[in-house]
Amino acid sequence: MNYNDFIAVLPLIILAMTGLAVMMWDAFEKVPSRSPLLLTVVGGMGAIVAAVANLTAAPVIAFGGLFFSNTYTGFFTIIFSAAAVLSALLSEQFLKEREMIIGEYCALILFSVCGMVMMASGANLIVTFLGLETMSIAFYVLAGIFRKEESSNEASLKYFLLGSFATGFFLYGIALVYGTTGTMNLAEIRTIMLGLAPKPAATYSSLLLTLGMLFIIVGLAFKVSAFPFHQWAPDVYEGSPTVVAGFMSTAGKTAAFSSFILLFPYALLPTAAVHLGSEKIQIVLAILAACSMLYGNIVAVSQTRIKRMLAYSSIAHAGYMLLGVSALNENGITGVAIYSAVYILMQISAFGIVSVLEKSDGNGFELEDYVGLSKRRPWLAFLLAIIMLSLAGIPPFAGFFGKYYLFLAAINAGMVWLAIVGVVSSIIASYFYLRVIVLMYFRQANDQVEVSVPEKINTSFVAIAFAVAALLVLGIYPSLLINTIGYLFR
Amino acid sequence: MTSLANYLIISAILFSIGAAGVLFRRNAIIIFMCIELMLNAVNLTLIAFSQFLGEQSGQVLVFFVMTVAAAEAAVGLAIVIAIYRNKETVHIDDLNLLKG
Repeated sequence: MNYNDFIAVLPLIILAMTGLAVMMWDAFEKVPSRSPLLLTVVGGMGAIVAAVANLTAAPVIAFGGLFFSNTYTGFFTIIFSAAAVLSALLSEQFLKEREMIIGEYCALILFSVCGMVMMASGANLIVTFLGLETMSIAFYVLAGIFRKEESSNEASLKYFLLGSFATGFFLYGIALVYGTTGTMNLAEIRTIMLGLAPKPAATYSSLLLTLGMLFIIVGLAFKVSAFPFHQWAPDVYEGSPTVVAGFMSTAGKTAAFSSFILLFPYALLPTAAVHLGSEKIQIVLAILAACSMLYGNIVAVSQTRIKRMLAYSSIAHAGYMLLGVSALNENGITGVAIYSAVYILMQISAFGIVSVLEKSDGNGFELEDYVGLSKRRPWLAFLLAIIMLSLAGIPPFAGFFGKYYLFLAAINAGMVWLAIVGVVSSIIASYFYLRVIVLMYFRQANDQVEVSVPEKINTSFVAIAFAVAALLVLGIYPSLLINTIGYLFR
Repeated sequence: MTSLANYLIISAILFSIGAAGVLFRRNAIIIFMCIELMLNAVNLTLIAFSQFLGEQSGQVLVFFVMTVAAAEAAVGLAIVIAIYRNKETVHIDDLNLLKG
């Protein structure tokens, strides 16, 4: 352990310290103020700066094989911290209207980001497990943060029971992988799976290893809400506060994908794996991806409430990213990274707009409430239209390039059928995304007087506008993101 | 000396009992106890592997699992209390606001 190890995990230290500071500030503050929010934004920005600084440093494995610090972890640290900053900004107005104090909320967001960073940088199964739990426990509390509201309570309990059930499977998987490979260190597991190091003769069993991988897949598939482990997602996203749902369904999912990549294409299933069951595991991942894409998009078509529609579409987006994981190649990893960044921007701002339009009495979620929005709130309708086009994957917007890379990865891996399923499900998806635009622009509200409300320039609006601008820039110049990632994964 | 297989079988049985409890019981507290049973079954697996491999990281993970289980219990029971205050029930069939 030396000085450099601490530099390698500096983003994590900054996030954890800011989280503690926000929590203490909240405890001793007499009059609620904006300070916790400012502190959160500064902490998130600080973590981003530290991660950018680490990007250019030589890759290291810090603390005796516990933490990776390389361009991969730097990239994911940046997008998780950016997601935290965006959601903190989006929440200010939302929480104020509902008379909630922002301090404990911001502290929980920061703690969950610590967990995500640990998942993306865990070089050891113990760290991955701790990261997953740090993130999940913060999420259970965040989902139920409106503790006087029954729907928030219910979402929280459902998430908690199913989430810890999934943790049990994940942990059992870790135990079996540990037992059959004899180590918790991902780099050592990789050398064993590549056949470069001997397996432990006393405890190795091909069956138990395959079983362990399947259990890990079940645990992580719960966290990313892939079919058939998705049942909790629509209920939890609908019941929890809208801004929290936006954060959980983006940053939480991409965090689980960042450790999916470390566990599968990197450690357990390197392309030249000598383990016999590896093709079968790849098929399992591919089937999960195909089912999630089709199921999420088909069920989203029949939804009448926008939060549930976004929840089902998030199942489909998990399917797209799972497709990148199941390709088990370089393109797949790049695709998942690009799609993670783009998906966070799209989905957080979509949930952000829903939270701005939502009424404090819990109404305003029906798709019917969006009829004629272009007359009432022209700016918000315009931003939402761009987000919907991007979610649908229409070419000039950033969502398209993410999908392009993922489908390319599947074709390179020889799974053309999976790419076809992906394209078909994207076509189904464009129906319900475009329907929102039709409702907003081409439908007249019957009984309402159309009065245009001038947009108040508050933190929510700035955050949404920033995210949409980023989507446009990345859509028009995708080379910005693709070159950065190309450089990251070289 | 008891063989590794015996430890693995007993912990697999405990894990299955826990998982079945989660799926079939309807009281939130009992479901939570079943989840704890699953985690402790895994702890048994970890310790058995650690002993037969002669390697310590499995036992280290067991300590972390116990810590995490305690943190989960704190959060989980707090959620159950919040629900009980609002609805006076912890039966999960009565929690049906969110459906569709």
